[in-house]
Amino acid sequence: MSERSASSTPSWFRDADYEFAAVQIERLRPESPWRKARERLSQRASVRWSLRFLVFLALLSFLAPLLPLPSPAAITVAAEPAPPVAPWSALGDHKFVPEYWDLNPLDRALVSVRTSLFGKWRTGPWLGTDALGRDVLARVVWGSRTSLLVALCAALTSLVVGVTWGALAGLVGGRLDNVLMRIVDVLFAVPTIFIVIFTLSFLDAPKSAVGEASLLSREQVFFLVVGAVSWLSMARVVRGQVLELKRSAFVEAARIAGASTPWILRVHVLPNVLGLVIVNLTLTLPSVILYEAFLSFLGLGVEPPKVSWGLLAAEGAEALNPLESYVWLIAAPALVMALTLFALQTLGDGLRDAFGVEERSER
Amino acid sequence: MSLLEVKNLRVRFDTRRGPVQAVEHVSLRVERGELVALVGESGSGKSVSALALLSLLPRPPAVVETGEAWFEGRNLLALGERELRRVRGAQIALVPQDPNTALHPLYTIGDQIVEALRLHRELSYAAARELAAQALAEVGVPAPRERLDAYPHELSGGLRQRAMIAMAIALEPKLLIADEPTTALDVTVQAQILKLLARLRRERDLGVLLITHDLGLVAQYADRVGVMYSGAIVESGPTRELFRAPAHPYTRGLLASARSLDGPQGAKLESIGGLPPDPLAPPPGCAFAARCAFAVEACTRARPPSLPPGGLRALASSGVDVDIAAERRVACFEHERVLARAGDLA
Amino acid sequence: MLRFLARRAAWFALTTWVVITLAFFLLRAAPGGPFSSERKLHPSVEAALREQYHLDWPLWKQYLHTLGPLNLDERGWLGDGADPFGGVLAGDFGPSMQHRDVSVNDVLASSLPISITLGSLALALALVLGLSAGVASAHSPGSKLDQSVRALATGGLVLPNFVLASLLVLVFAFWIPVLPVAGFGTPRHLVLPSLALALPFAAYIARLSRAGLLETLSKDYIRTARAKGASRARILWKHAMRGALAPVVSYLGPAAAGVLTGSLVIERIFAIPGAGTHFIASALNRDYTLAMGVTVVYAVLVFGFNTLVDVAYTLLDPRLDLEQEA
Repeated sequence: MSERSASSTPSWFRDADYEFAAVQIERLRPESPWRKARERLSQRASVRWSLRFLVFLALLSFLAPLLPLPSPAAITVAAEPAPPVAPWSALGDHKFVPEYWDLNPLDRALVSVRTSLFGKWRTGPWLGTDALGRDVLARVVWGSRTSLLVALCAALTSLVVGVTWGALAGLVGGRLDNVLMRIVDVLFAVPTIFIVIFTLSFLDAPKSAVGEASLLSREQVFFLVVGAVSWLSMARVVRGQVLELKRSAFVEAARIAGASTPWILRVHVLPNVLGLVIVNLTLTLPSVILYEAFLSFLGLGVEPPKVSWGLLAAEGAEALNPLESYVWLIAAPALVMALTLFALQTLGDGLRDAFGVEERSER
Repeated sequence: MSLLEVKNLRVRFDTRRGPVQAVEHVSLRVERGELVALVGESGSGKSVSALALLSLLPRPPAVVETGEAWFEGRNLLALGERELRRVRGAQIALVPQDPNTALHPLYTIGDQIVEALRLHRELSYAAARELAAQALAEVGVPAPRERLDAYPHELSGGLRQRAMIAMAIALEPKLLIADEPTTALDVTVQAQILKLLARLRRERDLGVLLITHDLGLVAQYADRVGVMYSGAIVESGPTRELFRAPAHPYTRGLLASARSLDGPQGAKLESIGGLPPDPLAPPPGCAFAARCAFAVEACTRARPPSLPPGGLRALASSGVDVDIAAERRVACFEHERVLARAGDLA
Repeated sequence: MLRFLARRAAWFALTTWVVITLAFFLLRAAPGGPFSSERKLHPSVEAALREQYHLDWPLWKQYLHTLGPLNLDERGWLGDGADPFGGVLAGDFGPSMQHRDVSVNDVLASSLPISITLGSLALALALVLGLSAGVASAHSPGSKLDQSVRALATGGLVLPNFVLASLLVLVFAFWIPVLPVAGFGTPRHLVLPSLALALPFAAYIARLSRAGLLETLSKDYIRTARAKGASRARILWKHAMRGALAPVVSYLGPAAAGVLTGSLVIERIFAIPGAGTHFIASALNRDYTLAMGVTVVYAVLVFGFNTLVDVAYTLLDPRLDLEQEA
């Protein structure tokens, strides 16, 4: 049904919703939000490129152990930061040493595949090396794993906890709605940074007192904490949208026409909420990646020798001084970060336009 | 000299899917103290024509291609922004379609009227407020002084439209453009607003250009009427005459469907079959040809020009009571056949 | 208005209590204590210190003692001796556990004004920069100016603030040495830090105000204003601005919280002796009292600012009712 109405939509009323289009609008059933979104998205080159870049980045970051990069953790003693070298003048050498931190089994397997594929060959210092002689390119690629994983974690919590929470509040309403949203309100009012810093500092500092008693690693706690504070706005947004939909004319009409509740949920509520959820997600991700950088700068992020973009940028920022400008140390992580966030933002803006969601600040 | 004389107005909208001719060769005239109606269905270009006069269309996408609009010896369409601003509000005022969205929600009624006054006259705030209260009183707002401090959301739809009219007439303009002023209002309020407009034009010798799709309002209040279809005026003339003897098949269809509403219970409602043409791909001939019962082959080939209807004379001589006004214009090749069946309608 | 304030006060009490409780238990749950990290103290000295700060008490008693001006004796009953400690609820955070002989209130009194100065300066700067960029952008959408503003705003949103700060330092302190890099004292010292702190928020405000203005400019009442004969500038500043400000104002709440968070980083980079430094240090050192003090003060600041924003929001839009908003 939506297919037919969408194809007969006169195109011009989107541009000029003037009098001469009013009748046609009235004649039409509201278009399927999905179709409209797809149509609008495909028209934008910037959105397509952003999507491609993000997919490429995700692949690169997942396959990092497989790539013939130098080790991101191998330290050369008494090294000086070395500037980038163009690939054509130093393609690579055969000095690879498989030195990593404790990898998980999958990554270990990938590394062994890499050694059997490329042997001791490794790429040259295309993005330079840092003060400990570590390859910046390798560190940026390996660092992307932390940053993207944090983003993924936040996205999952937003989806699972945030959407469920908001949808439950909006759909059930009444007292439950009240209780659920008051909890969100209070949590919103508690500055999240406290929780994060306190929780993270659990695992930090005086090891002597308790030793390694905790079950979770620093990273796992880190991911949990970032996830735990990122679902609040999602819950609010989803609840608001569900409430709006519940009151909307077309849900009313469907109810009068005798549609069952599951049908209304599936046909009317879900597609309309999903657009908003996706948009909100693309807006959450950049802030989470920046948050990781922020925590890393304060020394509360991943622990060396592990790397993340935030850690790299923080190291780079510290290495900046007027005498010796090791610009590449900050430029490399800052640039990939900027590109990623820019791509996410472009995608988010595109999706927002496509789904017709207003820009507003969520509290 | 007429108060307003529009000649050959053409407006195009440059949309993403291509240009749309929203208004084509529209010519009309409003005299002092006269109420002229532009009538047509939604999408016929009547509001676009009216807004184009004050350059109030959003540009892009709107482009005024050709046309002149003579008002007080000046061509409005050739005026610069600064001069145009002096005309807007002060000499030609607009009563918009929907008072619910046309009033600024964050300012009081009083402030909005005062702003209009002070934009054009050197007035103190207090003096302007006094004038604003008078204007509200004149349009029949009860307790006008208290209403000055009300926000739009605190008023009913009818009162909001009265406030809009007060804002429009506060500067004593010579011409009022009322763009479907009653569409957003209750039926009972509609009549009050129209009566108010009719009274104002009588008392103030105000020219009114009324944009509407309500034939009942036109019949009751308009001196002359232009019928628009698909961006062009297909027929125009004195209201009484045009209603008694429509010369264009579209006018005829409109009147037939309007009259069938008042007909006996159980009688079939008349309607015009089909849809207006796709504005992106207008037909080469008459825009109404596809829906027209009178259409002949010639109608699909060329657009009929707007001319005085020759058949009226014949109609008069055959004994039907019709004044033969020089004002009549109709754009139809077959208008004589249409006129010949004028008697069917009554 | 009174009802609004009353409900706000209730919320405030609840939130503060949640913050205090969370902070208390999270701190105590963390491994280690205020005296375990330092160079090994003699057990008897440590015991004495623990006793002095009541760390030998059971947790519930410590909690109550932290909260209020309760004089509890060894048995947990209300005692009658005069304890100089007033309790958090009375605004007395007690002595710092790391900075010996200094009360938390003294630490806050010397560092908080610096942070607040920096933060409010940054917020004002963000507002001014963001709004002017947004207005310039919306004045002629699609123009060169608009495009460059949008590009700059994007730049401010995709980089961590310490990178922005480093860039600013590199440019204005090293390459063109016009401003001091670090320290606090003269107004010149404030320029770079407040700018670095403000930039991300200015960027977002520019985006919000541009979008808000463009949205408002397409409204019917803007056409009414044009039909009245109002000029373009007047329409932009008087008619469109007020509606477009709403999203900006409601963003100020989260922005204030963000500025506080961001100042942790900025204060470190520019070596500013603000409260942010104590924040992390106290959490890491398990300085229970100082950590509690900083946390509560920050929470109160954020809450107060949010209340102000809500009031401002209602003043901006007469259709809103504070009674309902509370």
